[in-house]
This record gives sequence, structure tokens and C-alpha cells, in this order.
Amino acid sequence: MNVALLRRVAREAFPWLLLAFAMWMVLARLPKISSLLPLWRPWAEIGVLALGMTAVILSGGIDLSVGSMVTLSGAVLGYLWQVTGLPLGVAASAAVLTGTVAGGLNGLAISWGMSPLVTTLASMALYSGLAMALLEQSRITGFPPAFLALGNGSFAGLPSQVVLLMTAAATLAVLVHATRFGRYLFSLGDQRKSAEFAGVPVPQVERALYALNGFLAGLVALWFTARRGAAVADAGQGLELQVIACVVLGGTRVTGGWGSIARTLLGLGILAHLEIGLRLWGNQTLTLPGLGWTIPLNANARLILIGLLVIVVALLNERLAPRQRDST
Amino acid sequence: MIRRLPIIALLLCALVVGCTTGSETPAPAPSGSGADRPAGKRLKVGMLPKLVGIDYFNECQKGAQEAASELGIDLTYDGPSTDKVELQVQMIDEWIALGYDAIAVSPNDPEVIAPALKRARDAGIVVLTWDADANPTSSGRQVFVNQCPVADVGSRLVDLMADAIGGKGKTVIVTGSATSPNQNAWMQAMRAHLKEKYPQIELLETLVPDENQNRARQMTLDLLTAEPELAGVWGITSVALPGVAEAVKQAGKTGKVFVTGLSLPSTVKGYVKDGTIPRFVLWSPKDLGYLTIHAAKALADQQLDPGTRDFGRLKEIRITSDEVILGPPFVFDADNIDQFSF
Repeated sequence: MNVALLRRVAREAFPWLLLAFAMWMVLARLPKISSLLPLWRPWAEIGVLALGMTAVILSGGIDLSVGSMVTLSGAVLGYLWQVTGLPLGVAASAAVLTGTVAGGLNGLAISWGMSPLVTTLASMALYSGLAMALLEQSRITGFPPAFLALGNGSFAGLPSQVVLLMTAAATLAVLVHATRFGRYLFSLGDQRKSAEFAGVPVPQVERALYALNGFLAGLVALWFTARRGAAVADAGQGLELQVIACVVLGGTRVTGGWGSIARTLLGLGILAHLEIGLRLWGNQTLTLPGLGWTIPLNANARLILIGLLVIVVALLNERLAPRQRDST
Repeated sequence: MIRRLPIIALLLCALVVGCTTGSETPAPAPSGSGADRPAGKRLKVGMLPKLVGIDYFNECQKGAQEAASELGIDLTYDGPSTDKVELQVQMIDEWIALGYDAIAVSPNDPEVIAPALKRARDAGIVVLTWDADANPTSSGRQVFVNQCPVADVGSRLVDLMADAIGGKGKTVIVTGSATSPNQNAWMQAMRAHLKEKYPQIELLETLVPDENQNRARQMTLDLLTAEPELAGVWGITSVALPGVAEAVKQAGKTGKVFVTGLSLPSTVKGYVKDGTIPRFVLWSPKDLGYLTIHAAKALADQQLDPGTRDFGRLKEIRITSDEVILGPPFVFDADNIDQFSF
């Protein structure tokens, strides 16, 4: 049988099998399917961040500061509204602007030749430090109900976060896969040097790209803060790991140049439903057939399973990915 | 290798699917006297600690399970592996979707947990907090199962110190992190009690080692050098106290600097035996877990009225309008510490 074809089938089928399995885990436990919708809220927020991260990773970069940018934008929102007394709409706009500027600063440093890993590792600490300085380790609460409804309300029967995710996904799919900017990202991720020679305006593209990622983080911060009803100085800590995991699980190549927005949505679906599903089976024990081993599905087992899974998928992607760039 | 990968992938899928079909058999029901409720109508209670996998919350789990089998309750005791409130929020929403009858939470953040608890209340679920409270107004939680009134902990810690150092001298508190609500409330109560009863005890600036035992040890060592006159140290978390004790021991000041605070007997047993920590304070986390499940049952049955009553093996428990109080703190010393396994 044709080996190349077999590889392709395995590569394409494996994530879908995982998704089907994860969905089964969730739906087998829930009394009715509609009760799944509210559980999507936090994951849709992570999904929007993962879309931006996909664009960054396609270009051969990484952004570890997304969680901190969400925290900082949320802190600015709370601070301007409660301490400075600005109208909430103004504070919200300033929060989105904060995210955009924070991302733009990442892009500026990277366009000067700093490595994305080092730059965003540093700004991860910087932005979360700024948020802590702003809130002085207290939390801001008491937002008006109209704002809280943003995080807990529904639109056409769907949680508001899911609507945001769908809009953002459609926009980014066009931007990444159907514009010149998108083509620049792929060629940057393939070979930075040759992209430069081919006339890609690398510094401009990088600044715009990281600013876009910051804009998305600022936007997500509004929904995130509204859902939690509080702006807290360590709110977004650790988000970046789940965000990157979504991109990797979807099969976008971590070193750049190959992948897609649709793949990240698939990765998000897998990670979200696996984590939800594993917790829904929380007090069950799992029996390995034949071996007689029983594993309690507790918090530690969940971490181990998710970790193993990301490794297996990353390995498969690495070994099964096409040797040369093809059209996703 | 590459050629075999697709096959490996398929095998992995098969394994994963195979595994879980094995788990479809329901977990064995806890044994106990659930006879008064018909089968399938057992109360489903979810109990959520701040995090799982540490001694303190493992002890709480044992007590909760004891109560659950006494009362014939289906208990899920589960929580995040790090002290993240966001994970607690997600788990509460998942338990709402699963249709639990009652949810008892020890929140990592009193505010961020509140909307999730409100959603549970709106879904008709009985909501309690235990170990740490949520904002009572915005969360709508019905009852807080309080291990020990804050003022009692504060005054007991101060009295132990004052007795040992003769009511005067320089002292210092070593806490957890700057934001931990329990510790901050205790420190406030300690300061108030010091001011009122022992004005001659001087309190130096609090050390904040961020729940890191090694840092607690190092900060205490530094202070012992800087302040040779130091008479006593409080370590007021289960992590800070052993760190403090190790520092005092290393500095050769066992018996000269009085050490006390809050911790688990198993964690500090060695220091109690060698005299570094002559006495310290805690409640029984096992009883706290036990009481929480009993309170959840009583609340679900609408039988939790203010006053004093017994809950299983716990006698004369005080109930106020929105709290169930386990009781005064217990003082551990070298004579009684061997009776405790946690």
C-alpha cells in the first residue's frame, strides 16, 4: 500500500479520532447535551487566544506573554473604571488598547532581532508585574450587571464567548489563509532569511503580528473579567500553556511554516473536551483491559494523561508531517 | 519506524478507546446505611478543596468519606492540582451540568468563585463553603462550615506565646503569601489581642515566604542573626512552621526562642519531640471534612437551624444564622502528638 497515503491518512485521522473520543467522554456523562454549552465559556476564551497564537507560531515565533497581557488588560480595565472613575466603555476600550500596545512592544523588540522566546518570556514577567503594581494585590469587583452579562450571557442561544470565537476564527482564517499578510507569515516561518530576500517586509509584519496577538488578548480580557466578575492580579497566569497546547494538538508545526486556523480549532476541541471529560469522570476508576490495572482518574492522573497525549500528538505530527510545505 | 507509525497511532487509539469501555461499569457504591433513601435517590454531593494532594486536604477527604458512608451519600471529593481558582470555577460549572444536589467549596479566591456559586444556587443546588469562605452576598452561599472562629485562633496563638516568654519581648510572625485570606484574618486578630492584653510584646515586621518552606527557613535564620534578642516566632501556615523550626534548630536556639503556630502534627512531629516547638495549634481537618458533609446533608434536608446540635460523632456543634462552627482550636504538645495520624 502507498506509504505516503497511509501516513497522510493517519496524520489527518488521528486528531479526529481523539476529538470523537473526547466528545464521547463528555456526552456519556452529561444528562443533557445542552448542559455542555456553559462549559465552553472558558475554553472559547482560550480558543480566541489560540487563534492569535497560531498566526504567531506559523511565522516561526512564539508568544509566552498572552496570559500576562490578559491579566494586564483586565487590571487596566478595573483600575480605570473603579479607581479613576472613567465610564466602563472608555475603560474597556483602554483595556483593548493596552493589550494591543503590549503586543506591539513585543513585536518591536522582535523586529529588532531579539528572539521571540526571550522577548515574550521577559514581557510575561513585566506585564504581570505591572498588573500587580496597578492592583496592589487587591481585587476589583462590583462591576455593573450589564458588564457581567457580557461574560455570562448568551447570543442566539450560544454563550457569548462562543460567538466571539466564531467571529474571530472567521476573521483570522481569512487573514491567515487569504491575504498577502498571511502568505508572508508562512514564508517567514519557512525560512526567515529567504523571506527577507523575497522582499517580505519582515519588521513590519512582525510588529503587526504581535500587536494583533496583543489586541486579541485585550479583547479576551473583557470577556474573561466579565465572566469572573473580578479583576485580579494573577488572573491569566498559566493561560499561555493551554493556548500553545491547542495549537500543537491541532497539528500546526511548532517551528512554523505549516498549519492552519482550522487545525487549531480542532486542537481546541480536543483539549477542551478531554479536560472537561476527564473531570466529569472524576471519581471513577479506569480499568485497563487484560492487564487488570486500575487507575483512579484523579487530578494527578489527569495531568499525566494530558501531558502524554500532547507528547504523542506532537511526535506524530513531527514524524508524519510532509517533508516540504504543501497547501495545508 | 516511520512506516510503522500509522499502525502505532491506530493501536494507541484502540488502547485509549478500550481503556474507557472498561470504566463504564460504575464505581462501587460506598458501603453504609443508605437504607432510608431509595436506590438512585442518594444525595449527590461534590466537595471541592483548594487543591488536592497535600496532607491537610487528604485528611479532610478521609473525614468527608467517613460521613458520606454513614449517611449514604454519593461523594465526589475532587479539586485542582494547583491552587487556581479558575480551575475551581470550571469544576463547579461541570458539577452543575452533572446535576449534583449539593456543592461544598473551599475557595482559593472569595470573589472570583462567587459567580460560579451563584450559578449553582440558581440551578437549585445546595451551596456551602468550608475551610475558607466566599463573599457571602455575591456568592449566595447558604452556610460556611468554619473550622474555628478567627478570634479564637488569634488569641490562642498569642496566649501560648505570652505564657512562654513572660509577656514581653520581641516577636515576629512568619506567614504564607501576602494575599492569603485566612492568614491575614488571623494576623489581624493576633495584633488586636496583643494590643489589648500584652502591650509589652513587640511585633517586628511580618516575614512573607510565599508558602515556601526553604524560604521561611532562610528568612528566619537571617532575622535570628539580625535580632539576637528575638524571644519568639509564630509560623502560621503548615509550610511556614517547619521552616521556622528548622531555622531555630540550626541556629542552636532551641529552647531559647519560643516557636509556635499552625501546622499538621505529622509535619512538625520531630520538632515537637525535640522541644523546638513545645506547643502548636490546629483543628482536626478530618473532623472539618466530616462536619462539612453532615452539614450539607442537613441543609439539603432543610434541617439546619441555628442553635446547638450533634452531627454524628461530633457533639454540641454550634450553628449560627450562616455558619456551622467546628469548635475551639486544639493545642498539640509532646504528650499528645502521637495520638494523631495526620
